[in-house]
Amino acid sequence: MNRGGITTIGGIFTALVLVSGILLTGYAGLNGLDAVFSFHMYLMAAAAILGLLALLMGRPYKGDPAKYNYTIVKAFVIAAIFWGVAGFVVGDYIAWELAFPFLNWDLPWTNFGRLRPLHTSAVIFAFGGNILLGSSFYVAQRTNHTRLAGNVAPWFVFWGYNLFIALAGTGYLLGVTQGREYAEPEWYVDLWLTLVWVVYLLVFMGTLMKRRVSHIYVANWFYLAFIITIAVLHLVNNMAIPVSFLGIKSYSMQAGVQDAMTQWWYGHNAVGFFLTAAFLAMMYYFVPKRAQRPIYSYRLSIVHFWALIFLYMWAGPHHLHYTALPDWTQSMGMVFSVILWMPSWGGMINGLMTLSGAWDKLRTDPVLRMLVVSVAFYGMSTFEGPMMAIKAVNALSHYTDWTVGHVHSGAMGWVGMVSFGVIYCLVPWVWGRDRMYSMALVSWHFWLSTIGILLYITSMWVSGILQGLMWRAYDSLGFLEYSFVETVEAMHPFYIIRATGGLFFVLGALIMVYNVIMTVRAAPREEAISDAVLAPAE
Amino acid sequence: MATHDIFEKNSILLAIGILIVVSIAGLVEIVPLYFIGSTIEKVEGMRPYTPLELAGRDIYVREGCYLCHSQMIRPFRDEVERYGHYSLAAESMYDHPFQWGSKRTGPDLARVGGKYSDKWHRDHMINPRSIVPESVMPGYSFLASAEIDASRYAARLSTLNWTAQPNGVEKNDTGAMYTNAMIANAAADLKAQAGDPDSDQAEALQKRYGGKINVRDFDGNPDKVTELDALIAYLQMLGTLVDFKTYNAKANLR
Amino acid sequence: MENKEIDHISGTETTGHAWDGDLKELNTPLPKWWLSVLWVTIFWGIGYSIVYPHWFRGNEVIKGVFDWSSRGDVENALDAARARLAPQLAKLEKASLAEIKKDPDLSRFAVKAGEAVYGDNCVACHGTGANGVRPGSGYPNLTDSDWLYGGKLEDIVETIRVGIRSGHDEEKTNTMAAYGDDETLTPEQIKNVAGYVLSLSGETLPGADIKAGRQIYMEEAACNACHGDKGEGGATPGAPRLNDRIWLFGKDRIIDTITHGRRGVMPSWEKRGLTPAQIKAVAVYVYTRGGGQ
Ligand code: HEC
Ligand code: HEC
Ligand code: HEC
Ligand code: HEM
Ligand code: HEM
Ligand SMILES: [Ca+2]
Ligand SMILES: [Ca+2]
Ligand SMILES: [Cu+2]
Repeated sequence: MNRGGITTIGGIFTALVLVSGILLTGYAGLNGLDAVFSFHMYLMAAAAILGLLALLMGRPYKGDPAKYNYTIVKAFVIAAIFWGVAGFVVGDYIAWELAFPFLNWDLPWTNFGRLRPLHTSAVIFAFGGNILLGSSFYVAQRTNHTRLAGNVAPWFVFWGYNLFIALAGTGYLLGVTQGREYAEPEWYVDLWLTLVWVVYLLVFMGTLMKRRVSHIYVANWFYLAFIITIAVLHLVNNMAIPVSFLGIKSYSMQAGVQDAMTQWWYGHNAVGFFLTAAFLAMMYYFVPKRAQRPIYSYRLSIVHFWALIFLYMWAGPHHLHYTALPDWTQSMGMVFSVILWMPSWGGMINGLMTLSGAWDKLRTDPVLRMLVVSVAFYGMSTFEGPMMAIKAVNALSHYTDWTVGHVHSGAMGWVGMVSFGVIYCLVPWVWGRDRMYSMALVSWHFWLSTIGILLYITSMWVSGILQGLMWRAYDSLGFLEYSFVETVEAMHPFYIIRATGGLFFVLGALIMVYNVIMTVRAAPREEAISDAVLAPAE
Repeated sequence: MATHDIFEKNSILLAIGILIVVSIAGLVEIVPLYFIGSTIEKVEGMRPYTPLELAGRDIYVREGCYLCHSQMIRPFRDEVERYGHYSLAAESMYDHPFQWGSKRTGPDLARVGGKYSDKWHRDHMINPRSIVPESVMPGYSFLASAEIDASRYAARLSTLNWTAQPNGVEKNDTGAMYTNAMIANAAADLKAQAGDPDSDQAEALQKRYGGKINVRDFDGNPDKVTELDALIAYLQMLGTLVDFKTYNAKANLR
Repeated sequence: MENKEIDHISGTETTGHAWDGDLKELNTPLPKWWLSVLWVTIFWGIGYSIVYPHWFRGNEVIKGVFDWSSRGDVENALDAARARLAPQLAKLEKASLAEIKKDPDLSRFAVKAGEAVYGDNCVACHGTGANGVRPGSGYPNLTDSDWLYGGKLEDIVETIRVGIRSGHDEEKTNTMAAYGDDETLTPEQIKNVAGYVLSLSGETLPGADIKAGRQIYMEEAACNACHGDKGEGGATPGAPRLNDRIWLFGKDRIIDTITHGRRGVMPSWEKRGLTPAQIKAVAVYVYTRGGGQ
C-alpha cells in the first residue's frame, strides 16, 4: 500500500519530475521570446517549487489504508464551485457585451473575442472538469471498495489540472490561442495537460485494478471511456508545430478542409465525452444513490454505452454541413447523428426510470429534483441535436443563435444542473454533515436556474430562427429582403433577455456558494468519521 | 449478457475495447480527405500568405474574430447573392488553422477583400459604431498603436513549411509552401508591403508571391508598420485569389 | 456471490451485483419502443447512404443514386433565379430614367433590386436608408442634393460603376493637395483660409484673418480653381461645395483637411462584380432616396 510523501517510489519520482520541471521552465522563462511565455513559464516554475516544498514537508499518509481518500474530493469540489461561478459571470458578461457593445471597453483583455473562450473553457474544463475529476475519484473509490490509487499522484492531478486552467485562462486574456474552439490553449499548455491526463488515467485505472469487487460498476465504464477518448482527441487535434520552443506561437499541422474535419471530430466529441459520457457517469452513481433505487436496466446500460461511444465519434461533420467539406463526409455525419438519438436516450431512460417507485421523493428533495430536471434537459438536447444534424434543418440553424440555444440547453440544463445536484450530494457526504445547511436555499437555486435557463434558451430559439429566416428571406420580386445589419439590430431584445436569464443563473450559483460554506462550517455529524471507512466488498 | 462480463471483470480489456471502438470513425472520416482527389478543387490563383498578411491572420486568430465571423460561404442562393461565390476547399488550403467559424454574429468575411476601402476598415476597426451605428462589434483601437516586429516572420514562414503540405500546394525549392527566398526576405517583404508601392522591395515582393498583392500603407500611418496595417492587409486579400473565370464549377461537384 | 433478488417495487429481477452497499441494477429488458426506433433510424441511415453520396471506393467518391450534390443544387437554384429575373433586368439595363419613371412595375422592380444590393454593399459606408453615417465622417450622405460627381442618374451610375480613387482604370479622381504637409501654406495661412471658407456659409473661426484668407483662396493657393469663386463647388468634379453647411469631412476638421488633404475612396462596383443591371438598380434606389437631379 502506498504511503505517499517523498519516501515512496512515487514520491521520489515526482520529486525528480518536479526538479527537472523547475530547471526546464526556469530556463525557458529566462530566455522566452514573448513576455506572456516567460510569465507562463515562471508560473509553472513557481507551481513546481511549491509542489516540491509540499512534497518535502508533507508527512506521508499514515492513516488507515482502509479509509477512502475524501480530501482530494473536497479539493475538486471547491475548485469546481469557484470556477463555476467565475465561468458563469464571464458568460453573463459577454452576453451583456452583445447587447451593449460599449462594455468591451476597446481593451484587448475585455473584448468579446478574448472573453468568449474564457467563458467556454471556464465552464467546460474548469467547472465541468473539476466536478468530473472529483466525482470520478469519489465514485471510483466507493464502487470499487478501495482507497484511491496513489497518494501523491491524485494531488498532482488536482494541482496540475488547475494549473492547466490558470495557464489557459490567463493566456486567453493575453491573446494566446490556437484558434480552435474548445482546444484554444497553445502547444505548451497542451503538452502540460497531456502529462496531467496520463497521470489521471493511471490513478483511475490503478483504482479499478485494485478493486475489491468482481464487477466494474457502469459509472466507471463511462468515466473510463471519457478519460481514454479525451486523451485521443486531445493528442490528434492539437498536433501543431511551435515556431520556437521558447515562444507561444504554433501553427496547426493540418490546413483547410482536413484541419476543419479534425477540429470538429474533436469539437463534437469534446461534447460527447466531456459533456455527455462523463456526466452520464455521474448520473449513473448519484441518481440511484439519491433515489435509493436500483438502476432501471443493466442491459440498456450495456447497449447504450457501446453504441453511444461508437456512434458519437462519427457525428463531427454535422458542424460542417454545407461547408467546403465534401458531401460524402457530411452525409456520414448526418446519418450517424440521427442514429445516435436512441443511444443517447438510453441514458435518459436509465436515469428517469430509475425513479419509478420513488417519484414522491421529488416533492421533498430539491437535490433529486435538480438531478431529474438535468436528465430531462439531457433528453431534450439530445433530441434537438440529431434534429439539427439533419442537413435541411442545419441549413437554417447553422451560424445562428439557435446553435447557442441548443448548446445552453445541454450546457446549463444538463451539465450545470447535474453538477449542482452532485455538489449538493457530495458536500454533506465528504464533509460528514447530515445534510446541506438549507434545503430551502437549494430549492431557491433550483428555481432561479430553471427560470434562467428557460429565459436563455427560449430567447435564443426565437432569435436564432428569426435570424436564419431573415438571412434567407426573399421579397415577392425575388430579391433579398433584409440586409445583414438589419438582422444584427433585430437580435438586440433577445440578447437582453438572454443576459437577464444568465443573471438568474449566476444568482442561483451564488446562493449555492453560501449554502456550501454554511454547510462546511456546521458541526460534523457524529458517525462521520466511521463513514469514511471502506464499504465491505460483497 | 453474460458475455459482457469479460469487460466488466477486466479493466484492461475494457480500456482496450473502448480504445478500438472510438478509433474507427476518425480513421474513416479524416484519412480519406488526404487521398480522395476531388477533395481540393483544381483552381488558379492560390498562393501562400505574404508575411504581412500572415501577421494579420495571426492577429485575426489572436483576437478571436472567428467567434463572430465565418469565412465560409455555403452553397445557398441567398449566401451566394449576399457574399459571393460559395467557398471552395482550395481557398483555405494554406490556412493553419482553418477559420471557417461556427457563428455569424457578424457577416461572413470570406470575400470581404476589396469590398471596402482601407480607411473604412481603419475607421471600423477603431470604432465600429462610428461607421455602422447598429454594430455590436468590439472596438480594436489598440491595434493602431501596436507595432509589428518584422524580424519574427522568417521563423513563422519556415515553421509553416514544416506542417503537412496539402495536395495542391506548389512544390518549390524547399518542397513546401515558402521558397528559400521568401523566408530570407520575410522581414523586408513585411515592411515593404505596408509601404511605398513603387519601391524596389515592393516589386521584388510582387514577383516572389505572384502579381495580385496589395502594397500600400494600410493604416494611414506611413511611419510605422502596425498590427492594424497587417490586419487590413489580410482582410483586403480575403477571397480575392481564386480566378473564378477559369474555375469549372461543373467539374467540381462533390 | 451472484445474489439475484426480485425488486419488490417493479417486480423485476436484479443482476445480483451490489456496489457501495445499496447500489444495484435491475435486469429489465430493452424497452421495445426504444429498440424499434433505433432500428428504424439504422435502416433509414442505410437508405440515406445509398441515395446520397456517402461512401467512397479507393480514391473515388460513390455518388448517390440521384447524383445529388449540394453544389449542383445551388447552381440549379441560381440558374433558375437568374432566368426568372433576366427579362426585367435586361429591360432595366436599357431603360432611361424617364422610361423607368413611366413604368410603375419597372420602377418598383428597380427600387427593390437596388435596395437589396444597397443593403449588403453600401450600408456600411452610406448608412441604412442612404442618409449617411455620422456627418463629417467622410462618407457622403446620398439623400441630400449635394453631389460631388453629379446627381443625374447617369452620373450616379457612372460613379458607382468606376468608383472614386478606386484603382479602376476609369476611376473618378480629383486631388485635394496637402497644403500643410507639402509646405505650400504656413499654419497661419491655413488658419486664415479656413476662416474664410467658414465665412462663406456665415460661420466664424476665432483668430482667423478672413481678408488674408480670401487672398489665399482666390490667388495664392487658387482654391477657387476647384471650389469656385464663391465656394459654390463644381468648378471641377469632386470638389465639394464650401458655401453650404454640409461638411463631408467635418466642420471642426477643416484645418486638418487643408493641412493633410483628403482622398476619400469609393470602391468600384464593377470591379467587385456587380452586373450592369444591379448597378443601374442601386443607382435608381439611391436616386429615389431624395436628392437626385
Ligand atoms: C462581437 C462580435 C464581433 C467580433 C468579436 C468581431 N466582429 Fe466584426 N462584425 C461584427 C458585426 C455585428 C458586424 C456587422 C456590423 C458592422 O459592419 O460593424 C461586423 C462587421 C465586420 C466587418 C465588415 C464586414 C462586411 O462585409 O460588412 C469586418 C471586415 C469585420 N467585422 C472584421 C472583424 C475583425 C477583423 C475582427 C477581429 C479583430 C472582428 N470583426 C471581430 C461583430 C463582430
Ligand atoms: C468603402 C466605403 C464605401 C462603400 C462600401 C460605398 N461607398 Fe459610395 N462613396 C464612398 C465615399 C468615401 C464616397 C465619397 C468619395 C470622395 O470622398 O470623393 C462615396 C461616394 C459615392 C457617390 C457619389 C456621391 C456624390 O456626391 O457624387 C455615390 C453615388 C455612391 N457613393 C454610391 C454608392 C453605392 C450605390 C454603393 C454600393 C453599391 C456605395 N456607394 C458603396 C464610400 C463608399
Ligand atoms: C485640384 C482641386 C482642388 C483644389 C485646388 C483645392 N481643393 Fe479642396 N477639395 C478638392 C476635392 C476633390 C475635395 C474632396 C476630397 C475627397 O472627397 O476626398 C476637396 C475638399 C475640400 C474641403 C472639405 C469639404 C468638406 O465638405 O468637408 C475643404 C474645406 C477644402 N477642400 C478646402 C480647400 C481650400 C481651402 C483650398 C485651397 C487652399 C482647396 N480646397 C483647394 C479639390 C481641390
Ligand atoms: C450564466 C450562465 C451562462 C451565460 C449567461 C452564458 C452565456 C454565453 C454567451 C453569451 C455565449 C456566446 C454566444 C455567442 O457567441 O453568441 C456563450 C457560449 C457558450 N457557452 Fe455559455 N453561458 C452560460 C453558461 C454556460 C454553461 C454552464 C456552459 C457549459 C457547461 C456554457 C457553455 C458554452 C459554450 C460551449 C459556448 C459556445 C457555443 C458555440 O460555440 O456555439 N455556458 N455562453
Ligand atoms: C445526440 C446528441 C447530439 C447531437 C446529434 C448534437 C448535434 C449538434 C448539432 C447539429 C450542432 C450544430 C452544429 C452547427 O450547426 O454548427 C450542435 C452544436 C453543439 N452542441 Fe450538440 N448535439 C447533441 C447533444 C449535445 C449535448 C448533450 C450538448 C451539451 C451538453 C451539446 C453541445 C453542443 C455544443 C457546445 C455545440 C456548439 C458547437 C460550436 O459550434 O461551437 N450537444 N450539436
Ligand atoms: Ca490546443
Ligand atoms: Ca502604416
Ligand atoms: Cu456536435
